[in-house]
Amino acid sequence: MQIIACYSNKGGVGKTATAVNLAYAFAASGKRTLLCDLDPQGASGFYFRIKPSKKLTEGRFFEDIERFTKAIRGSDYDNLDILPSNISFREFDVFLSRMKNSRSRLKKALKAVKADYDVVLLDCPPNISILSENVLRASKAVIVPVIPTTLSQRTFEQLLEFFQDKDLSQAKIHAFFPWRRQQKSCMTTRPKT
Amino acid sequence: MNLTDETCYMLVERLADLSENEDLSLKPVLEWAEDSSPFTILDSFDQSLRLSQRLLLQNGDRLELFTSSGVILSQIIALEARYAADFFTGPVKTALANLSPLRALLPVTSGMMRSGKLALIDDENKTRAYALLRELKPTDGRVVVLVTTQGLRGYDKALRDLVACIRDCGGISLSLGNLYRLINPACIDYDPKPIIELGRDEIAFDAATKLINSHLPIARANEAGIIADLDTEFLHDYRIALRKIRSVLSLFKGVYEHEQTIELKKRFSVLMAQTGQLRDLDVYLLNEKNLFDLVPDSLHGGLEAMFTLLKDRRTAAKSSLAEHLSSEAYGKEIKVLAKLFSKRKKLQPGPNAKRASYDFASELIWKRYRKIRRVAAGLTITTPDAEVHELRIECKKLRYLIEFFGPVFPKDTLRSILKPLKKLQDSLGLFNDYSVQQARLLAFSDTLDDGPRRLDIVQSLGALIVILHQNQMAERERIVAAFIDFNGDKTQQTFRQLFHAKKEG
Repeated sequence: MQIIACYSNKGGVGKTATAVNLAYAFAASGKRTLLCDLDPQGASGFYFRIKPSKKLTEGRFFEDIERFTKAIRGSDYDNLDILPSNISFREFDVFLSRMKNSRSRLKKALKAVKADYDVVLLDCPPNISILSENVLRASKAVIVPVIPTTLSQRTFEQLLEFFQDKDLSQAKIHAFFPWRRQQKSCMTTRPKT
Repeated sequence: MNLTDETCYMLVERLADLSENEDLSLKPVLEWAEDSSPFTILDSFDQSLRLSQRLLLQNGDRLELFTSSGVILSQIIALEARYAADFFTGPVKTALANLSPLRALLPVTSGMMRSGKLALIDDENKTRAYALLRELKPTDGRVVVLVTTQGLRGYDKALRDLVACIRDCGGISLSLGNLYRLINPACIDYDPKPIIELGRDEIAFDAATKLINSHLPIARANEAGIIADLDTEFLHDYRIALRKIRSVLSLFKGVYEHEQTIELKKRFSVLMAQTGQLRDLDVYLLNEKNLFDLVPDSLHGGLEAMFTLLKDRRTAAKSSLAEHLSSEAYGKEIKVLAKLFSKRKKLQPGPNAKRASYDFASELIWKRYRKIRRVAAGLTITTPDAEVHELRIECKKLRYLIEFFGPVFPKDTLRSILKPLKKLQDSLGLFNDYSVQQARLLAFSDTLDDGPRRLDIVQSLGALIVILHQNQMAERERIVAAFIDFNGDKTQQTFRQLFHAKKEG
């Protein structure tokens, strides 16, 4: 099972669109794929018309393996499942900070579905936090959309510094410019059923 | 993703009840693909796919294998392939590896089909569970729909509702019903080994007649397959059915009047005799690869020439048997025999006709068993082949008797004696095969004319005979060991208890 994060500490750069389309592409190529929506806004789940999970609240994401796996929902596409988020995901950092080994908790939680998926995509909230550190540590690759604005460049530099500070390999980072000429081929709106 | 997925089938008329169901909390949405394609359902003559709760569908240029647990495997078709082993490498071929390699996959029914999908959607238009549909319109028969549920992770309730709804609409799981018969009520179930119920007190005349009357239709069911040369098992099963009938006639002594028994035995022997040559050639040809493996590559040329000759001979033997089975004389004879055992009026009871099956069987089996022990007791590795063959025949007779009368004895106990008997028979069978093959190869070499490959063939035959002889010697030692196992105290005790207790008590 490969874990791939779609991450940026700046909002509005196309993280969710990247995560959703990548997840779809993996699934369509036959990989059993799980898209984890870690962003409390629940945009990834919304794309797939999946309602927020009611029961996976507070620290249960990291502690209650059964509840975590039960919250996963099949999408309308073959091979693609979603772990929808909910508003309580905002508090992830609070729960993580209370836990032992708080920086590797996410990887541990994902082990529960190791046999079920070939690829896990993480759609992350736009911040640098304990959760982010969990994400960056657990992931094999970190896909970072960067757009040509001063603020976006600045946050990218902050990310590079963060990697250095935390002794993470910068080779994991795959930054790209999410410019889309053929918008129709990408999932930028909710698919019609 | 869910354990409760399954493949069901239903008549097409009932699909509307499913797609227009308003009682569901989710909305059913039905979609059909616009194009249709030709389909054929494939199965072996003995319906081994149906009996293993699977369905093999040739859908255009693809093969689809449905299991009762909702799995659909798919791969491209190999057009000329008649046996699963000839399919291209793929998931369907892998899943079919457990089928008999000797049985061809034959069309059960064919026609046109289209694919569809029935989804249960929620108020957000999100699919919560769906079923893949295959509507099969046979050229001749009723239109049915295959419904394969596909649960989505996290939506167990929707899947449960869908499955319940399919059942309410008359959906039958592949694991329960007979789809072939729903399509075509005339579709027969072919069972080469039917369980023929016999009562303990049923008189021997009735038991014998019932057994023969059950095996004659089995022989007849194989006639068309032999004539069309669909696979070699048709002839094999035909011969087994006839052999069982002949065994009943010879083993159930005195059940029918003496003269009539002799006459019937003769008539069935005549039927059997017609089939021997083709079966021998089939056995050779099925064994082709093994025989090649037995001799070094340098001698393969001779074997190739031999097999070319054998294939020509088989073509001739097959035509001759097909002609016999299609002849008016055969048709008349087999019908007369079938009528004789179904109507019974012209069957004349013999002195043992009225004996109760249980007593009669016990006596026959006990006698046969003692005879085997007597013959086998003197068995060593130097015993002449003829005596080993006698033992093989006796064991076969014992096995048939136990199988015929199986229903009147306790099942589990019978199993405990059949197991070592079967092991002994397997060993005796191999011994016989090696011996018969040597004799046949020798006989074959005598039939060769002075053709250009004669010397090559004779050389290869010589090498094969030496190896077969060595194998035969090795098997002889195994027979002695298998007999010691069969002759163990426990088996002896069981035989005595089952078949001789009454006499002693």
